[in-house]
Amino acid sequence: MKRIIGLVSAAIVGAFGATAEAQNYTWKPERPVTIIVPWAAGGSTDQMARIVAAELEAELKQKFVVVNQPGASGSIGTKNALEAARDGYTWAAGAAADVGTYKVLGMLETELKDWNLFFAVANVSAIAVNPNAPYKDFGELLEAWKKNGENISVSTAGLSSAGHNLMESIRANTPIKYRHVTYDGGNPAVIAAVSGEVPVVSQLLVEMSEMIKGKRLRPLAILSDKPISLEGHGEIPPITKWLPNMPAPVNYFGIWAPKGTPDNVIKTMEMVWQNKIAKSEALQKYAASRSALFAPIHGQTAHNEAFKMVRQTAWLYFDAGKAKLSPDTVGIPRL
Amino acid sequence: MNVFDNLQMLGAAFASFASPMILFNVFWATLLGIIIGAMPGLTATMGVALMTTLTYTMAPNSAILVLICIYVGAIYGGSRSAILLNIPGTPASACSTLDGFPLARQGLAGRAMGISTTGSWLGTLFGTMCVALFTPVLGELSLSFGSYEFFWVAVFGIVIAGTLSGGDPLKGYIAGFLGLFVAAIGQETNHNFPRFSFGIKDLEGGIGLLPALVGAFGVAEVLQVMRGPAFKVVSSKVDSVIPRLGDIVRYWRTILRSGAIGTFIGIMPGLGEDTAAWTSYAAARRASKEREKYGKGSVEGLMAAETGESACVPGAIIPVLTLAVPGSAPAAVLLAAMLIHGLNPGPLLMVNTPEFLYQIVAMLIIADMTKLFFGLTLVKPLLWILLVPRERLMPVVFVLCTVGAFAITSRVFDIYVMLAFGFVGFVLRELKFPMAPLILGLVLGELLDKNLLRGLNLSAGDVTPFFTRPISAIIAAITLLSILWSIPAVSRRVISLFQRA
Amino acid sequence: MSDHPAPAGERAPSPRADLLTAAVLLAFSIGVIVLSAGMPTFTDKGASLFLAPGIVPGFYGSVLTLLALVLAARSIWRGALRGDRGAGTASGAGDRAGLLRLGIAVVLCLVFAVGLIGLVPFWLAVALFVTSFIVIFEWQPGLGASARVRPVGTAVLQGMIAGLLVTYVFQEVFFVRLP
Repeated sequence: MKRIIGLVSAAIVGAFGATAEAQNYTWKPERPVTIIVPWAAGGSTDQMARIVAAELEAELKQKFVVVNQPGASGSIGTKNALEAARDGYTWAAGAAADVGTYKVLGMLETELKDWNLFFAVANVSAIAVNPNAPYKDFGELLEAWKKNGENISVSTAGLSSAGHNLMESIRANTPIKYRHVTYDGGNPAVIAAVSGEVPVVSQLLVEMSEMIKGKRLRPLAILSDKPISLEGHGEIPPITKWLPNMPAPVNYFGIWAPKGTPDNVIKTMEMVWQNKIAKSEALQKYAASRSALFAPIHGQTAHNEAFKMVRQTAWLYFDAGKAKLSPDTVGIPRL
Repeated sequence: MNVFDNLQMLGAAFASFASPMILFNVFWATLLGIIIGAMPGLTATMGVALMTTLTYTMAPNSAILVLICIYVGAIYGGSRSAILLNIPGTPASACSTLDGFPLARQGLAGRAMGISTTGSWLGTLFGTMCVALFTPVLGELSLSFGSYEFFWVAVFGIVIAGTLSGGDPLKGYIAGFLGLFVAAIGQETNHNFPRFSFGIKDLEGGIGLLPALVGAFGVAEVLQVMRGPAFKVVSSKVDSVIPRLGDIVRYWRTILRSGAIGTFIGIMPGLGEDTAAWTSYAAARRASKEREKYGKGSVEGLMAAETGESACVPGAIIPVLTLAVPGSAPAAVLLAAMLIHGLNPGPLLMVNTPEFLYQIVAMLIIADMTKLFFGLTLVKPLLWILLVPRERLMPVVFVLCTVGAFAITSRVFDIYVMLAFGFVGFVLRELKFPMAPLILGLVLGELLDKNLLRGLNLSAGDVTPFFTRPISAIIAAITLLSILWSIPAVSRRVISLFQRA
Repeated sequence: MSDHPAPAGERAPSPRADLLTAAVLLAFSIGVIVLSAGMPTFTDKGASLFLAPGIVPGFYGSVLTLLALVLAARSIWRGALRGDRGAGTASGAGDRAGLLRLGIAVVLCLVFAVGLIGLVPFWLAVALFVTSFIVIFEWQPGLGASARVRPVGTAVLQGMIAGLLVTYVFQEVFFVRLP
């Protein structure tokens, strides 16, 4: 796992990371900067945001305060960041797939391109089963879903969570049925599969890695086109092994400020991202230990990479009848 | 692994914390925790989250130690304001107002704080023992509680809340269901449908527990005090600050029971210190020989609430260590901090780094002892609060309530929630509706709602698993008996039946 | 908690007050049921019926309706409809002063929390609120100007201290954003 993450990270850094060494930032924040995490304290967005905050603090010599404003699938906190003064003192954290689809879902008037994006890590989704479940590989599970899927419960962290999106994209790809059981977060969803309340869990690999290492869960596939090897477990096959036509975008996590934020703030943040975040040992270590991908990208590159996931997700919602408007009308073409 | 190995690891853990710098950290962190807890609106969760960022650059063990001190201190600190002002500093200490404040009004604030200190100290100690001895076993226990069981736990909580209000069970139930209703406001989980939000975005996120709590207790209390005639300044006897050994000896059963309940509730994911305090209190009341004193200044009741909530802290850490599942909200942040610092709790902890478990035990004991120290030394200065006339105290309390309601999420909306709960809470109090079930309903509403629907979903609409799964069946039976017992006609008959026999 | 001896609200509410409460509660809970019944079930999108958003609040509404009816029945049984015993005791002079104080407190709190906050810097809002609260409630009619200097002076002082201290502690020590 570490090796592959290292390779991917190196590729990402090599491709996008410039080597500007300038330390004379044009933006010197005079008072504490707020990062709004629109999810509860302790979750995966929160963890990422706190590490990034500490790195920014060290570099810009000013406090970065993380404020948790959970509620309504992250749209409340994001709305508050959108409505705050655009002076660089209020940022939002989260996952790109969420902020890019609020408009389609009719939850919030905002699009991915309305934000200055700064990503730190990317997470892959995975499907795992209770060790006592009869499915030996993903192919068997797929067959079972096709045969009597309505009786096979799958736990996720809820509507529009990474796990639910993965299930919906499988369903869009091949005719399966499943019983969707929602939990309060990724962790409870994983625990439900460990305890046997549900046989199958679909969530981020980050949230499963310890249970997989402890042999309390058996991973069947990850949403990717390459396998991932996990320390203490071995290789987890990609879902494309069984569903070759399945698009496999990753979900980027990071912080962002609305467009309209002063140029010197964004320029400074871009430099910090290249000088500090791209070399952050803390983030690399965190990503490696949580089986996430280290992805310090920003700006247009970040937008283009994340837009793949947004396109896939937005159309999933639309096809499932959950969207308030067609993604076409807001410039999100089908992936 | 034998006992000797374990003791050796525990000793090594203590030794590793024996440096002046670390002890200095322990002192300020515990004190800060107590202050955070005592301020209405600043919670243990928020304190731990705040310090996670601030201790980021420390060595992992020092940082976790600071966070545990904050956690332990904040849960304890909340009862200071509960006893002195009738305003719980954190949701966990709402139960301590029931008997703590009446004791203070009787001039026994010093004694009340002494009891709460002892109870809290023993509670955390009891819980810590459980961490040291049973972590692997108890961690697994939380896996046997699924959606069906949590549904009954929530129902049980509402039922005991109704009966524990003392005066009028009917009004208790009404308040409880009003609380449940308030918890239903906002988006539900299955379809993200916003219930009762009337198109208001802020309402879609639901009513925050904290602004509601600060309103129902803090603001309503301010109004009630200002309405009443000036109360006589109560001079508290300071001589009884040192807890009496007699209290411990007399109530050892209550202490053990509350410790066990608190630890157990802590282990359950989704249930926190607040539920632990209520449950211990209800259990103590049921078993008590002096039931009539409850709610009027019962030493035993206060002891039960304090021991329960403080035993919950180590309890909540148990599943963090074994399953990487937090048992309470502050424990969730603690887990995040461990992950950020590269410590990997989870099923492999006992295999890979068993010494980490003993470091946590040592940290809990150190934090608990420091808490005891501050608990005993801070009583005298705190008693000054009681001497401040209400005209001068209440405006400051109201300001703190406002800041507290706003602090968690920085939304002006939360201030309005606080005001609304303050005014409605005041009216309900005047009509003799108890506030406790209202708050408990708000706490448990989400648990009940989600687990009921999830259970039905899992079983495809079949209700039998709610009654046939062994643990479900037991809690369901206890709940049913509690309801029957609260109807006077039934309980009288049962008692007379036994007396005749 | 209503269990502790409250100075003013010591007496239990009259049966008539309970009957009124029950009526309000009944209207409220029926409203809840109606709104719950009107919620979409999402069955047209393939969701199962027992996941409908209205089920749980509808259940709460039904229980509240039942409890309201029980409360109403009990208050009638206790004499809410009898002219003599049902009414509460006439409020005395002390109670009227209490209601006046309550009214002033409510107005002050509302002015502070809804009006002042956001209009002026937070420390100033706190200082104004605390000072005026103390001055108004400590006001004793018939005192000479010289006798007022001390209480008003200390009130202003306490207001300033509270405003600055609260602002400093929360903003600088706890990094809490203030309204």
